[in-house]
Amino acid sequence: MTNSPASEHFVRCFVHHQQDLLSYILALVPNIADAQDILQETALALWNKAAEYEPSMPFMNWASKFAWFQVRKFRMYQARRQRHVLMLSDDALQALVAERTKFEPAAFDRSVVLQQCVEKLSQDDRLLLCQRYEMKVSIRQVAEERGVEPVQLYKRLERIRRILLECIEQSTADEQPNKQI
Amino acid sequence: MSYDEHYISELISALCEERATAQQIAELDRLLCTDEEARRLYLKYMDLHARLACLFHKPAVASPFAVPVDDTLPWSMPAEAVEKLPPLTFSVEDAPANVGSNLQQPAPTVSMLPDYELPWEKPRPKVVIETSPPSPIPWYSVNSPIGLPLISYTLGAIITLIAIGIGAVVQITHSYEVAARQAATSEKDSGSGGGGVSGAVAAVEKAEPKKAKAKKQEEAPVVGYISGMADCRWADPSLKPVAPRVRQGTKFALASGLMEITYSSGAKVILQGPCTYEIESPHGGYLSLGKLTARVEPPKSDSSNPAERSRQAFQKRKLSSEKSLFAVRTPTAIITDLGTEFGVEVDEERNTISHVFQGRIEVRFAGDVSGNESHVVVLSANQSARVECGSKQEKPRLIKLDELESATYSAKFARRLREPPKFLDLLDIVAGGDGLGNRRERGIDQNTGRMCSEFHSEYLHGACQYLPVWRHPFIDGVFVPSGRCPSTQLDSAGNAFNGFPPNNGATFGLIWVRSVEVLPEMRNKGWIFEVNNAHRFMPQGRGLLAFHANVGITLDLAAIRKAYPALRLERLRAVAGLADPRPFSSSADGTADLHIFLDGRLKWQKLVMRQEDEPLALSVTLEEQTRFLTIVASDAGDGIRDDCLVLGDVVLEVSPLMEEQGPGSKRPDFKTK
Repeated sequence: MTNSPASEHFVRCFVHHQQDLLSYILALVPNIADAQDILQETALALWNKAAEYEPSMPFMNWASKFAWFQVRKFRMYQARRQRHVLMLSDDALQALVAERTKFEPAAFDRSVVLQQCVEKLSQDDRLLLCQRYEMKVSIRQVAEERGVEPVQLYKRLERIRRILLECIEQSTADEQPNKQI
Repeated sequence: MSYDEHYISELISALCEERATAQQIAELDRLLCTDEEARRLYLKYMDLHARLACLFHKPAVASPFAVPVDDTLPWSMPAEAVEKLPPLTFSVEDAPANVGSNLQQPAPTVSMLPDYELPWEKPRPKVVIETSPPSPIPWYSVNSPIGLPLISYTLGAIITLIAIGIGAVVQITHSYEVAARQAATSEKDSGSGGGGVSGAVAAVEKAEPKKAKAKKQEEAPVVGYISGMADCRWADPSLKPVAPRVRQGTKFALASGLMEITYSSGAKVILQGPCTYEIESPHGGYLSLGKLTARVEPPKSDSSNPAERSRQAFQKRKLSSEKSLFAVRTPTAIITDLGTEFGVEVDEERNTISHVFQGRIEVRFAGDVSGNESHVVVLSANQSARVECGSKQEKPRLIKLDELESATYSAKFARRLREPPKFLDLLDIVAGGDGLGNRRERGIDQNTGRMCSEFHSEYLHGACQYLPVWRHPFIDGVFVPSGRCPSTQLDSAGNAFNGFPPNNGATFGLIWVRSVEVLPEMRNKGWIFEVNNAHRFMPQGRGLLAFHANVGITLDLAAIRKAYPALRLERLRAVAGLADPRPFSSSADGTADLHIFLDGRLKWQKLVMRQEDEPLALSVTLEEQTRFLTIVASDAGDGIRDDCLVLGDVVLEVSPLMEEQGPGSKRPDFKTK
């Protein structure tokens, strides 16, 4: 594919929806590393088929089909390798995909809202998130270094995520009436 | 939220952190399959997980596909800055009791090395996609933007051509074989000679390619959707549904389980495995084997979306103009709905049995166009008919069954995806569930009103205070009945009781739900896990409620009724008694009283219960207007030592209130107070 306006448009669309795609994949394959691998495979597949993309159609609808295909491929690969990986069933995945189609596109950027919510967290909580997501240190290791039980950190991480979810819900609920006006 | 939000988020968190057990994954899987709210929460949670990963992710390689990350984010700190951070502190709520002493000590400094070796993620190759090729790379190289697609397209084209060639040869050969066989058969039947080749060509023309058939299937109109599934297994994996939408011509082959299809017309069909069913039209289908139950009702128009309302109105007008009745075809009969709920079964001998639950249906022979009235029967409620195909020589027979046989058939059909429960498990409720699950090893602290996941055995003096349990909508509150207080508040409505025997207001341990068998990790964690002969209080093997005096818990029956509008709460049932704590305690001479209150009125009481007493079957009838059910264990006047009162197999017996609405089909609404 050359540097045509169409390809530029495609790349812009991809970059814009990259997080949505990762979110889509992560819902089906909960491991971040696996999900990122699948995202890369999806990116390749999308790039190869970029010429077929109609700019008039929603990018996510088009791209999610590729992602779904890659997820299925990944699961088949795992099943073939006889890895005893605990996975959600096909029925659950289909129910999730169907549920996701009901979601209307958000009128606001959830990542921006999330960033604002993360800024509201305490320094300790941000540090834990930083270790978990940026530095990718295992929780067990963090717990070892801090001299606490890993279960405490797991609980704490879960609580931080709950706080963030509530914050996002609150922020988006506050923004909704403004959007309607 | 239709389920305990915290419980689900715990499951999802465990999945994200790769520490979920097989049991947790199975539980989450079940919730995701059955509960829409659980699916929504899961998707929101995973969306957050993904966005956090992106927010904190620093790409190692600059790529046009990479999301720019703001390095100036306040939490993206360099290692030196991080080392200067103050030591972390944890709230007491987070920490288990046995680590309380650690909180007093300064926490070790956290070292954060940017090049930390990741224990749970192997380094993975990053894919870099260049939008423009560097100039020195030749055009035919795989690194050039032209070369890679060119090579891949060329390879792809060659493989496709080979595949098409092989497919065409196989298809043509097969079609000619089939055609030749058909031509030979037709020639044999007609007795004429010749025409074999022309017959084969004609037959080949008739043979529809598979691709065209698949395309035709994709173009078929959507006539409904799969509105529910329960424990489905598929007899033919190729017929496993891949999307909730159901198109005309779709075939389902269930090996077991139940699947509900809702037609656009509003008709609902529950397929009961093993069963093979094909959607023939927007107004019916073909049941070749197995059982189904159909209920015909008008489409709902309560959608808040104007576009959806308009679509439904259009659909309704369209349907009313067509005036088609819902019909189920079988190999031997056609069952036409006349406004009703009915069941149809096709057995392996292709006989058809029809049963009417409500309304009327018309049963006639398949393929009967004569209008002969002897070939038609109209059945009304609780009537059944069987169409027997008989042997080849015999004509099919239509037999109307008597009441006894009808009743037998009526019980064979599943009218709901899930049958209404016979009881709500109070142990599950106390452990944080909705009464339909099997949650155990959790409890409530009567001194704080908080739900706990770790048991502890401590003597504490309760305050003269009623403590609401905010985390659970079904539990109004907890308290410690104390003779030192002027009166003890029993519920949030302010009902109080001042007849408890004088005691020192002490309490021991927690209100705790124990599994039937003590889990290995729970051994030596407290008295409830070490009592003797615990099984005699659990004849039905559900579990045990630790209820050491002095303690009280109040259930909000109104909230339970609101969550289960189709159920009537009949009675509280349990097996009560004082457990023998001797392995835990040196003596076993405790005595305790058990009291049951309904809306603050004393309804049932057993005074001076002892360890040597036989387990007591407790049954308290719940009145329809009762809002609060209060259970109290109090000291019988000799101190609370060894007052190890337990309630085994505690349930709220229920009965269905409305025939139409099955509570089992939907989880209750778990809204925070």
